[in-house]
Amino acid sequence: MRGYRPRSIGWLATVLLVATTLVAPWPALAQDATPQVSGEPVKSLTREEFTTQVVEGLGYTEAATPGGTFIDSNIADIQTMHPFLAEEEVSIGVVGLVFEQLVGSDVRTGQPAPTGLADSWEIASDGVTYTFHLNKEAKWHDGVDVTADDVQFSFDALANPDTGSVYTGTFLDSVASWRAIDDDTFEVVAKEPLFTLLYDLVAYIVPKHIWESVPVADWRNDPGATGADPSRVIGSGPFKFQEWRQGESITLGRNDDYYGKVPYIDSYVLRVWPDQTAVVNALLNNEIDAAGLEPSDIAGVEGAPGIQVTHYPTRGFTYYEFNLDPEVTTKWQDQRVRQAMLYALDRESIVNDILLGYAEVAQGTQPVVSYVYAPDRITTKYTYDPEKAKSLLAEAGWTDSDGDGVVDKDGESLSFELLYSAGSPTSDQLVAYMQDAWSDIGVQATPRALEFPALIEATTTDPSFEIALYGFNWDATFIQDAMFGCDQYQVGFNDMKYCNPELDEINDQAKRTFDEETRRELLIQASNIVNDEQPVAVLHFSQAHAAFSDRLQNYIPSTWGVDLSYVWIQQ
Amino acid sequence: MTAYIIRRLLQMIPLIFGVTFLTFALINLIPGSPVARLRDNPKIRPEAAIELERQLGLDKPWPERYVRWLGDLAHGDLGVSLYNRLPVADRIWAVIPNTLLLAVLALTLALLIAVPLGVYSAVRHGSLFDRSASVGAVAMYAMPDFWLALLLVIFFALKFREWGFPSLPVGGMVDPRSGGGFLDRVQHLILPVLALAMVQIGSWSAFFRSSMLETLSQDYVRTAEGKGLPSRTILYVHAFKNAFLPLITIVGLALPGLLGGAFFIEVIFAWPGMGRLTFEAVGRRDYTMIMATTLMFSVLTMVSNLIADVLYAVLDPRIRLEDGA
Repeated sequence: MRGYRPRSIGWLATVLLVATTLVAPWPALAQDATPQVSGEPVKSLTREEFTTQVVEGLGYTEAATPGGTFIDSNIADIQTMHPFLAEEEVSIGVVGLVFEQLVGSDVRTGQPAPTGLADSWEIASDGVTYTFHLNKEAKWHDGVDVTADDVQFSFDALANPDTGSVYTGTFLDSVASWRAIDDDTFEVVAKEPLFTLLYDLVAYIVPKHIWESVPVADWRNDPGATGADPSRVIGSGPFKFQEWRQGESITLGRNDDYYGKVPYIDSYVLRVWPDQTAVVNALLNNEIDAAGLEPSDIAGVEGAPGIQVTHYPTRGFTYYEFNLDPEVTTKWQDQRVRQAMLYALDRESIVNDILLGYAEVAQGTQPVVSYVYAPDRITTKYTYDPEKAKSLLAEAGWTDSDGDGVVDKDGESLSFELLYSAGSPTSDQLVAYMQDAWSDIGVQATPRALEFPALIEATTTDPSFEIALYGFNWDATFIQDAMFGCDQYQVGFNDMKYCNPELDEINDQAKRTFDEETRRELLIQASNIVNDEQPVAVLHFSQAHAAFSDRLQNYIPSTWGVDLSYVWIQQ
Repeated sequence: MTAYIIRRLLQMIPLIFGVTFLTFALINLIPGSPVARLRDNPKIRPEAAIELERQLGLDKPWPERYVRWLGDLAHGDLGVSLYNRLPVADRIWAVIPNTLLLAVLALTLALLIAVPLGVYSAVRHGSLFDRSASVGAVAMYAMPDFWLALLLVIFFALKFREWGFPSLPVGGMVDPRSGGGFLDRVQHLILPVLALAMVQIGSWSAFFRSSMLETLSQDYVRTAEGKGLPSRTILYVHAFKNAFLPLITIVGLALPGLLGGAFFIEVIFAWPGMGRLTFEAVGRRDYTMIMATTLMFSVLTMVSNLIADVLYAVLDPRIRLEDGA
């Protein structure tokens, strides 16, 4: 193997670890096997405590004029009204207003919150036993009480592969057993003491009395899933299903009998549009009340009467990934080459000139909204330094021996295609800049835009790529093993075929750490490893943009969503 | 005649095979898989995507899948959408009325404007009206329909709103706020129908004008004039009927285009019709949906052509339908 130092250290670490295991199994591993809990059960906030915190924290106002219809927008229609079968974000968004999970999520941080069917929960000191206390007043939209029986039924169905849910795999991997303790108490035992359980679990609760008579394999076509029969689309959430006009809109009405915060608005309509231009036009024409914006839309919308534009940090980052599989290309095997590529980019300029300031130059891999965000703790700063880039390349043996302006080594030029997803003017500008900046250090990149499915094929299914530019959104755990784990090649987001067992160890330990402070330290370490080794180069932490009617109150778009129960319309 | 019709119908079968085979091959050769969209959701582990591919039968080579699709088709089964696994036929059935509505209205509007325009231009041949109408027609014919659609949206929706006039909606069939009454639906129809009709108006009026001109120069017309018949009678009773004939073919050929091919108009105006369905299916690599709409569109085209030919023969006794007509 060519001088790829981190890999040999990782290999050594693995050998040592294995050796230790053989020599003295349990004592040596005892430190890692027991959960990093303080030995006491972890107790969640109660629904009341949490709600007070959020309302005060976000400054929600009471509705002066309740009622009205809030018209939201999206590109792409929902697939289904059944929570187990909803794969797309838009479907989950709508389904999540009608149905509930045991545990909700905090719109401020994306972390599990007592806003679902559970008023509160405890995690026992073993780190695997979760006890949920269901709200006693919760009712289905048809008036029937919600009980632990429904939870039992839902979990059973989710665990059944015949249901055809894409969440079954994760569920069966994480959960060992589940049972109703009494009408209002439910216990879930996880397979391993990982703090990620509540984050990973997508377990919506569906009414047993509606679904038990239908074989799970037929759920998809049932009128309760297609919306053809609204009386069968019964959830327990703050909104009731009214109508789904395929390709046009989904209409939900307020649930006046909701046990939690009853929404102020009368109804919520999601209108479906075929593309972003239509969305922006509809917003400007007052046909919708809210829309997501691309950076190129901002100028056209800002200043329009009655419309407010807002920007917020996202839980994602923009990055490019190297193909580290020597069978595809050997260009990126040397860490110095990978580092040189990032030193050659003026990321400050990218953020200011291309993104118009709506982003932050990335230090490390943890975005601004992450609890692990710690730019001052990142040891290697890739400040724009093309001279350093050139010298790193030279050190690694890349020089322009044939005088064609492109560096080469052993007869191979540092010339490649830069793949990226088509359809975004901002991305087009970005890759044009990257091409330019890299040519200054003798690296020749040829940008190539691909439609998203084609890009996926070239980088994941059939990885023939050399470099690809992507965006990625992280979940609220911010553990990044899905992208950097050795076993995530082709099955996860590790398109690069990167492998660092030491990093895997750290991420695994982080998963087992319930204490956020300790976990944070581990993840900062992980971030530094990736930052140094550059299997991917994180460019910036971008912001997202949204525009909405200024009649909307308590509407705070964020990367974790919006709590529609508090939104009201100024009449 | 019957023999001819049957022959034409039988000829459609190999054509359908050819079209569907080509389409199936092409869409499967385009890079990208229908399950790529699952990658956006970090809560779905990638094994689920691979499993989904297997469930949808996508792990088999495409020639095998084509044969299977043909087999299903023979049983009248168009399959399920690869996006939501609901029957494709239901979806198409649901959107056809929307596309038909647009097509019929656009057709009617286009005829209502193009025919008088063409007649008047022919009758006033060489006048300022004729010349400006011709230029206008060519301009409209040359304009891409999507560009025209966008112009209409900018003008009648956005600019009107800016200037304080009541504006037309930018898209959709109804406004959820007002509940979708008759007036609301009409408002939503105006711009898409206009956009769809305008290009046809351009070409049809020019065509009808020249057809009319040619008819007017015929001997029988001069004879009628010589006999002292009032020009109105000549025009509407004699010339018009004959000049109108070629228009049947033109309209017949345009019909499939209006029905299934109004992609751009439907996409721009967010109109839930067949064109938009196909457009979205292609983006999602929803192979079954694409095949179903393509099949529908091909059959429609062939049937429209047949009807146009037959109608022409019925109306014009000079025409003898032969093979290859």
